[in-house]
Amino acid sequence: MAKDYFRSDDSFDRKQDYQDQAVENLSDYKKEAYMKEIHFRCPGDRLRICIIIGNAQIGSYRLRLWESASNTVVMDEHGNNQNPNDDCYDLPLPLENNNGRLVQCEFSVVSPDPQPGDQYSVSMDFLQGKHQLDSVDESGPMNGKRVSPELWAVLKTP
Amino acid sequence: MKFIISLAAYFILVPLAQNVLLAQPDSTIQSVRMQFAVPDAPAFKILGTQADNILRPSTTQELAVALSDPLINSSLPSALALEFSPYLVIGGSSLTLRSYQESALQRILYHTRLSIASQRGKTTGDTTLLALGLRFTLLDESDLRLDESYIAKIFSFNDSVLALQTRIKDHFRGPAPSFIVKSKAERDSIDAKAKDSTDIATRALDSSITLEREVAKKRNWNKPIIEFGIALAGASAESTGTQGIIGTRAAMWLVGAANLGSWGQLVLGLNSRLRRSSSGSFSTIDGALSSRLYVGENAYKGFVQVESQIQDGTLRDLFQLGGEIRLYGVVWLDYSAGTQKVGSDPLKFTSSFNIRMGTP
Repeated sequence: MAKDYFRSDDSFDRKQDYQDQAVENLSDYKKEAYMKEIHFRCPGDRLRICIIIGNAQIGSYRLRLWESASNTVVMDEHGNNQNPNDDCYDLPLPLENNNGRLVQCEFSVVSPDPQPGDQYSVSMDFLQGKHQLDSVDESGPMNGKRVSPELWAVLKTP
Repeated sequence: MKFIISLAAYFILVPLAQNVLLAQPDSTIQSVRMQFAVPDAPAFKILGTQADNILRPSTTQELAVALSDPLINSSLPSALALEFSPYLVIGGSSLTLRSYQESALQRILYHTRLSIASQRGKTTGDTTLLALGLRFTLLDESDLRLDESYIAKIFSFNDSVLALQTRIKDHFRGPAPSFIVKSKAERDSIDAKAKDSTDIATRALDSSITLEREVAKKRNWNKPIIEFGIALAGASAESTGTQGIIGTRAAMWLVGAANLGSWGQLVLGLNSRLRRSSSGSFSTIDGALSSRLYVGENAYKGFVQVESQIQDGTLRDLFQLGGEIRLYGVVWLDYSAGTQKVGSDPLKFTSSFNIRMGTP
């Protein structure tokens, strides 16, 4: 049952309560092994996400950062690994506003030359300044098809 | 549908081909045919075994399980067949397409395969055979990952696929924060509907990707390739091998191919084997030198083949004319006819018909 805590017309205090509630509920989903919490220091350096598509496969992705207490998209980026140098994204400032925000990255991965035993591998690396915080990844067999993995994470201060 | 037709063709034609092959009075043609390919798993090849259950670990976890099983049982299993790419198991997840394209070393490591095979007798004290093999692709300009124009098109199609996919998912799911707090059953149900719609919406784009791949394969079919394989085999009278393993056989395969314009390809193959003789020294040498000239295109080509092979001190010469046709999807048919001369025997006419499965 969806919980109705994504309201935008509350007072600041109530909104903060809902935000805390949202972070807490998202923690429950971590137990389902698809939602990982990424802990960052606040105050601290700027957050950065790098997308990696491994196993020499072709991949396109859409990276979205969702507001924690509303259905607002804070950041929306599209890309592919044709040139991996531009697959890192700075998250918006101020830093503390990222607490509780939800990171969603959808992929479409295709093998340029399908072979038996081909694997795919996608990951999001989270950095704060030059320090790597954590990463979220998924890998598996291509089975000669295009695959559509999806990665999730929730940002949280300790 | 293509797969079903291919499968049907395979099951109808393979028994037919087997009957034709069984009718051959001599296995020379089948044995010399192998000189044109470095075997996928040289370790299995040198032991001369057909492993029914080949383990192909693709992650460190799978590899650890495959290797630890014999250790847990304190001895080698009666038959072990393991083949994997060490580089992919260790670092495949971080290998980007760009790194692969820019580094020849990365490509060699990506395609290097290590194979391990063992075979133990059924009773205690029987000889245990153990083999290690390595297969390298030193050069492969037919590699589709290196075809920039093809890769650019696939990126473009895949970007469009993703755009459709995310739009459809958003339609069914609604905003992500609302979606992820639903129960797992609800999320799975929504995603199943989204997937069905996505599959329909992206069908044309997926077909375009397949079509571009076919065009690229046709363009690159005769580009230069160099492949190399090596295998070593040993034997032990002790089932655990703790009393020492004595090397019994060694083999190497080298295959090179070069294009002749856009219409042809010359393939050269060299195969050599060393065997320990009864006196205990590596004195018995078998080998083969082969050449084949292809004319045509990827799916339809004719060939002329000349080959010399020495086995157990007997020289075998082969001359053949033939053709290879891709029947449908992954099913290939090849036919050849010619002459062979074995030692001092009179010249004989031979023919061969074979069905094989290839990657689409």
